[in-house]
Amino acid sequence: MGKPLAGILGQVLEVDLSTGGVRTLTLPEADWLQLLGGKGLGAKLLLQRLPPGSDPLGPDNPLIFTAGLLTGSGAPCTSRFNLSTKSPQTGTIGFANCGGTFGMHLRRAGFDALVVTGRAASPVHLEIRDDRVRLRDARHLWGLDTVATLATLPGGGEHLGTLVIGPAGELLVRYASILSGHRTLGRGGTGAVMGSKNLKLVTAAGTHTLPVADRQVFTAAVKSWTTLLRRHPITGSQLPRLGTAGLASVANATHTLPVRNFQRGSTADLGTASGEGLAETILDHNSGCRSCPIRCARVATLDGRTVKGPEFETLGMFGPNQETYDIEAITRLGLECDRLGLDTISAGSTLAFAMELTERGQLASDLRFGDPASALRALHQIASREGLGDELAEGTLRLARRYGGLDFAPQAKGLEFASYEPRNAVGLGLGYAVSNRGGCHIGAGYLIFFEALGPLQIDPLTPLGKPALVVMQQNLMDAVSSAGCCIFTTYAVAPGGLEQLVPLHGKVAGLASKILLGSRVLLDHQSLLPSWALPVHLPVIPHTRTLSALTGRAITLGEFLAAGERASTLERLFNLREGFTAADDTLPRRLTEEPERASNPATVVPLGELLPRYYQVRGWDEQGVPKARLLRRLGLEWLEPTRQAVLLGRATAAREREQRELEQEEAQRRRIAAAREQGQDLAARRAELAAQIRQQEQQQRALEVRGAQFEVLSSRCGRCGECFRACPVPGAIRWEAGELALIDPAPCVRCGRCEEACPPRFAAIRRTPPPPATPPPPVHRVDPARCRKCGLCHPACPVGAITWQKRQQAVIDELICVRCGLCFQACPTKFAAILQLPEEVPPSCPSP
Amino acid sequence: MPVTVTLLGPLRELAGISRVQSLAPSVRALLDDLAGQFGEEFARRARRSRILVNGEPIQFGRGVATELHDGDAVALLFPVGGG
Repeated sequence: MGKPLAGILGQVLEVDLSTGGVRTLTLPEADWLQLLGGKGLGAKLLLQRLPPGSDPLGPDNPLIFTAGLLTGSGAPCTSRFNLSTKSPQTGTIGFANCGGTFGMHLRRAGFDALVVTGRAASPVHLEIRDDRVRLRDARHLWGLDTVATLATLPGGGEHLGTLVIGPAGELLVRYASILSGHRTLGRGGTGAVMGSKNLKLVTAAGTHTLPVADRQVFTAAVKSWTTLLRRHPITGSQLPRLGTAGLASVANATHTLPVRNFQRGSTADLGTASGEGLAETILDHNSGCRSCPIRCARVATLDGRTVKGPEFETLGMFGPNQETYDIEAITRLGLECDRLGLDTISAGSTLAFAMELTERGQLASDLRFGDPASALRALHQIASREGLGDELAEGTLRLARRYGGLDFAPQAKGLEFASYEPRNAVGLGLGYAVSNRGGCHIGAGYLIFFEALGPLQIDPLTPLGKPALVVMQQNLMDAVSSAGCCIFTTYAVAPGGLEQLVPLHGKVAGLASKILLGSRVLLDHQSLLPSWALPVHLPVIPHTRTLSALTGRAITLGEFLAAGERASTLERLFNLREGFTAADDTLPRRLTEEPERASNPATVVPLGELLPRYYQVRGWDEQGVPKARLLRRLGLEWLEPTRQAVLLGRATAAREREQRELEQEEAQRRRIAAAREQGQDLAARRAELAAQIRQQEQQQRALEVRGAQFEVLSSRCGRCGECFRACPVPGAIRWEAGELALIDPAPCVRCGRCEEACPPRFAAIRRTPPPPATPPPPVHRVDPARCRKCGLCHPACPVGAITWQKRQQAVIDELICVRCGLCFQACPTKFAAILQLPEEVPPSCPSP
Repeated sequence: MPVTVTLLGPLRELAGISRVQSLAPSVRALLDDLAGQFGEEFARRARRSRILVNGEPIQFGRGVATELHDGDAVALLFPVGGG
């Protein structure tokens, strides 16, 4: 038997919120090698665990957080993790990929994936610290926005992996998001799934390290990859300098920027609504996810505060798409979405659609194009489901079903399009129609990079070759995402120095476009290619060489792309199983029939021409169902029964789904009413609950700490000195800057402060409970007859168990007291007012 | 009426303005005109950039020989990516 697979921790954590049950399981190595983790693995677990037709907001629907093989490995742009679940917004698979803090910390805690099922009886915080997993009472956090919730964590949660929802998730807004650090799991309403489970907050931290098969080769691969990204004009210059917002002006020039609810693809003047505008006004500096050399995030100064600057999607949806051209107003709207826990794309797009409905007289609202104040008011109403907000919270498709406008509702399968107008990038239009999570640019394959944005431009309007290129791009992006890497690393696929070789506006560039489109002759047959047929690594796709060094297994380009194809196929079969059919691979009429520019009738998405070819290239039948041959080639034969069931049921699938959705809508109304009631009840008692929960947790902690022994594990000690600073007894911990800490058991009073202070990433303090036969430490109690009300005991207590005020006697909360004896030592000898009593003395007796 | 040229990204930084007007009769002449106005580094980048005339990429048409007419909108682009 060969060496075990490296690049994984080997454990999946599963938590059932209904029972509080926690278990760990191991996945076969083949799952990791076939799928690379991330969205592919998430889709497989979801298919296996969720019964078909389940209610996405019911307790069965799992939240499946998966790391990719590269997540947290230190390779470039690999802080990313994935969430897969059934989307309450679309009913399709809902996946979201995020560069936030959670993925790498989950792995540090020793887990490659977290599966959360069930529903807690009341709001909880799931805390993961290495193998210590517990559900903490979070009733006092319910109703708080994301910023206020994180502020309750030590250090604002900066050193933890966090997942948090805001009021929108609690009230099951269909496009509620989950925040992780400064980044977001935005699309598909995953925040509502978290809310439906009464799960307000998840934190993770730990001390595990990822095994690397060949450290030397891995380090060399990471180094050359980083150099590639730093030298590339997009990842080394545009993204660091202008952020994703830098897309706006180019998209506007190429007529691919949605304006006025996708009525047009360009506007005469962007004002400050662009990357350049952002840089010239409120930008302070750039920032980025962990391990990322690109650093595309923006940090801005607004109203005297340091805030997150808008991403392109936020800028597009709240900017030109609502005819707002003021970067400050757009930034405020984006921040408000993050605070309330709303997806900026769906929120912005739903509001723009409502603005057009209002303008056409189909909806009574105060929403107006060019009026960001009306949008801001609406965001608050959405998150609290007040007034019209309750309907806007249901998203564009449901709004259109009620008020009309399906022809111009910018969505596919119920998910609002991203901030790219596809009529001048028809490959992206095809991608929107077939994307597994609905109208998403990433699921679409982001062909617009080649059609309008990147260095090498192909003819944006021709349908020729587009299906094959979309498939190729989708497979590549799905593989990169699954592996735990940012898709921005794929921009380096387009050679960085291209413009040094040929003028990008010249005839040679035009010829290159023709060659790329002509490659369809080969690419049309890509689904026939076995994965072993590309046993190579390419310098512009450094992912494969890095993965091979990490895992100790040969992951070549062919295997890598096959993993992406598997992810896409698993997701497609999930959707088909849920009752989606070829009829759902569609776009609103505005995009397929109304030219974006009257002067050029070709500026529409010729979907009827593109779709059959796409199915063919994918290896699907005319109805969009993967063929048995494809499943065999990908090693997914276990899905054959699912495929057969889809084929048998497809005549009635759509009708049955419609019926099911109607029933689920009913359940949704009841849940919202219950959530509202719970929210009001908890908000009214927040202060009282916070005190009560704090006390309960302190009591629990006291039981753990009393009589325990503490020692520093030298192998884990980070030499940071936090324990030394927290220790209340001089001399009990020895530490000097840069040195290991050491606990001297003689002066140590066993209060446990060192353990609390040790950063979770080290967790270097080991607590050993007292042997079973040891008598418990004495109870500490104030003798009222002797207490002189001096208060010296009060500051001596390291756990805050003593209450005292001037001219009042001190009182020890015996349930919180860890019995360290520091109050006993602090009480002046002449008073001797602190008594040390045996455990069995009842609290009513001051003395034995 | 002259043609209006929109400058984006690095070209906008180098020129210090976002828009400029020109009476050049063709894209080739326009590039010469801009090189004279904004210097060598600008010229070097502009001669390599993607160019749109009225939203249409010129590399699929007549390239730098594309004629310009009064009121045309020209955009000089730089490669971008994002998500």
